[in-house]
Amino acid sequence: MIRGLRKYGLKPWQLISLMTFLLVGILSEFLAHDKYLICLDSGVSFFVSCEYCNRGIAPPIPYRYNSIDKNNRGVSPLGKQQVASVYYRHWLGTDKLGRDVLAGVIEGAQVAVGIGFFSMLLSVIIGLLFGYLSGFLGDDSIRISWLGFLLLISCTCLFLFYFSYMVSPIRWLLLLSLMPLWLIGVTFFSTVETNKLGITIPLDIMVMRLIELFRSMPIIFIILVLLVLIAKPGYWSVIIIIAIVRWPTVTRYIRAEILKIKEQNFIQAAKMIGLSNRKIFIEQVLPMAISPVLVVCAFGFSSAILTESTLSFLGIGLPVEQVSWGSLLSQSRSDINSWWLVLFPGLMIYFSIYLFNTIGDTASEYLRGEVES
Amino acid sequence: MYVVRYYLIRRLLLIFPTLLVVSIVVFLLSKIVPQDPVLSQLRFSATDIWDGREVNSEALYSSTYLEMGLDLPNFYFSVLPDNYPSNLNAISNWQDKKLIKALITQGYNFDQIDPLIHCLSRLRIGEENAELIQTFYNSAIINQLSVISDLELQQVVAELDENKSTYFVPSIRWHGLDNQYHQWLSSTLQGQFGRSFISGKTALSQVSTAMLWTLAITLPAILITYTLGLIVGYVLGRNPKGKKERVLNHFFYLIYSIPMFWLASLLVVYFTTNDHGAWTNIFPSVGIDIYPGSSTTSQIWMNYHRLLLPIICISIVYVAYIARLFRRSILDERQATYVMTAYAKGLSDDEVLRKHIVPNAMLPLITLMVGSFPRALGGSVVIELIFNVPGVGRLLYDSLGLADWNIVFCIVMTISLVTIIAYLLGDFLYALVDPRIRYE
Repeated sequence: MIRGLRKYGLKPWQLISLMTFLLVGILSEFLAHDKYLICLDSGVSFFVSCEYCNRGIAPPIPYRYNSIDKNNRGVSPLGKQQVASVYYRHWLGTDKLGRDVLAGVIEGAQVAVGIGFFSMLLSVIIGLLFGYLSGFLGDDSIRISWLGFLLLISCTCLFLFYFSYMVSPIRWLLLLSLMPLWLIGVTFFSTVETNKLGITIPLDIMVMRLIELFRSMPIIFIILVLLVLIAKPGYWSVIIIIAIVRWPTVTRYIRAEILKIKEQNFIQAAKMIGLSNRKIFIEQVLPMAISPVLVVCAFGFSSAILTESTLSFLGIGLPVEQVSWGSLLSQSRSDINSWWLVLFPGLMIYFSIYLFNTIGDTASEYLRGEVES
Repeated sequence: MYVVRYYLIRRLLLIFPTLLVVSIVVFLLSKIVPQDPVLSQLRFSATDIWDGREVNSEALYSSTYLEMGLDLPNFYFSVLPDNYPSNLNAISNWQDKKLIKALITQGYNFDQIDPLIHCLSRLRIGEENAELIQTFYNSAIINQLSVISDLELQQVVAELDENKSTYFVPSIRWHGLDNQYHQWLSSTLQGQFGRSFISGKTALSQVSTAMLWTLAITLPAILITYTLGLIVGYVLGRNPKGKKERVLNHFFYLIYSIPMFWLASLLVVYFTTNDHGAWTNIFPSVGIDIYPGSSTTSQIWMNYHRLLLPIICISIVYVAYIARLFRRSILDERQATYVMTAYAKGLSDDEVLRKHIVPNAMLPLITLMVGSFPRALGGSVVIELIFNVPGVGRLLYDSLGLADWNIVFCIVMTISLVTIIAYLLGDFLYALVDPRIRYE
């Protein structure tokens, strides 16, 4: 995979920082914990509290993001700290409650990696789907018979109706899995030739109108309404909200790239020899679209981290007890003299955004043919 | 030009349906959010019931509910399961409504629930059953009613159980023009956005005051951003391979990635206090001085030194953004064949850059610049919260949290209108400046 990414012109320092960032995020629980990771007193047991364990492997940082050190409340990293040894020192200071900032920053990395990755993934999947519909199929590719059209409309309405009034989750799941199958089935089986009686579905116009609708409302309004709607937002709802806010941008970019690819001769040739749309898209267009998708992924990651930390900074989004970079930073609002609460979490946000922006930039320069592989 | 004109007229006509759809979406969103507008209205108008005295709170709730016109149906038509009443909004008692909703979702038919409610309200007057009925109201489990020995009640319950269905079908009901959306839309079209629950002022006056504050920050910021951004971008793009330019480019790239709320926090922490040495105490502390009685414009003028920091903060990030974009645009234009022609004519490097490349490179920035005005009107929640500016972003944020939807509608519809017009204007200017553009 590393060699694969190198091909796109990524520099070694970008790859190393990317790997470190992902590793810290994934292994956060093992890097900062208030218990012994592995206790070897009698046999092998994991995550044992310090009081019950004499011999074992301790984590590099002896604090968890939520463990409270009563003796050191709001201490500066440079100031005096009441700690047993250097090992217990709070390298980046503590907040007002006595929680270690370094442990918080590491926990924040986990949040950033998780939310960044999944919301990026979700928005890119939506973007690719809509990019396929509007960029590749366009306004005149899908022509279905009137019967199929009526079936499609009525079933979509019925689906939406039952979806919003069903109570039992099992029936929901059944509907959820059946409906897309049904939609695809109707669309493909009722596809007719251009000269036959039927209706052409203007997919491009539909998608672009939807995007226009999204863009004409203020983003902060969309985010806040979704947060109010969900009532008790958690990890996954924040991911979904970020993806919902992000998909119009991703779709527009991917659509433009697909339109460029579609213009090329070999796609026209593939159409001439009668390959199906799906086959052309999967075998010819997708491989060409890898580097635009990489660009979108990188920028999606950075924008997701920015959105998440902004939301946490405002105190909305993730639950209050979840520590993230934004929530650490927001503590400085009430405590204006704790410069370490502003500096370190902010630096982490900054570095990760910078990292993904440069990766995206390098990938897009490669796309323009400015980097030799 | 004919094609362009046709395209623009079509786009101009599309403004209305788009705005209509936005208004429907926003209105329906306001109806499905789990907030109670009556409660937030009461919280700010009648403090009595929140002192624990509960001055006939149920009747007060119902009367406020009717006063706000919430008893009308939401929209012109509704598509509901067939056991629903045609207009659930008509029930003004919130306890009854909660019970009915719970029973309907269990599959009971509304025609049989209605007599049950009447029966319960009769029984509730007597002391003996009041507690039992209250628990039933909270749990909505029909079996709990079997304890009460009342002939009429048992008959109603039996009928209820008889008509319980396990499935439901959609039934479409037409409500006509007498609905909440229509009323809201017609008063909006007359320019009346209603009043704020919280302050009691008209939404329009409150939003326009907030917009003045926001524009006081964002307009200077846009001015600085585009002037400095274009200059820096020009310098960076003039000689892209030069050593100085490359260092400068990377410097601006570093700035470009700074999250704005972090920059704002840093500036506040380091440059508004004496803690880090007296020389760092450059800017006045955060917050706006309110001088009661004076107009908004004079208040903005008197607070101007306090608005400097947010303006600087926004400008720094966006200057880097515009500069990079302009540099990119110049580099792209360099590849064009007309540049080669210009060189072949014998123009110097400088002349080619100034007369041919820069005008063309500025084209993509037109759309961007026009598009930045609606964003400027919307303001930035983070900046306004950190610097305590009573702008649009903060107003929207607060109003949404308190379910003050009149204000929210006013803000969102204004920004939508400005956004749509700005995008149209961007396209129009683009076509005007660049005759090559042909919209199809």
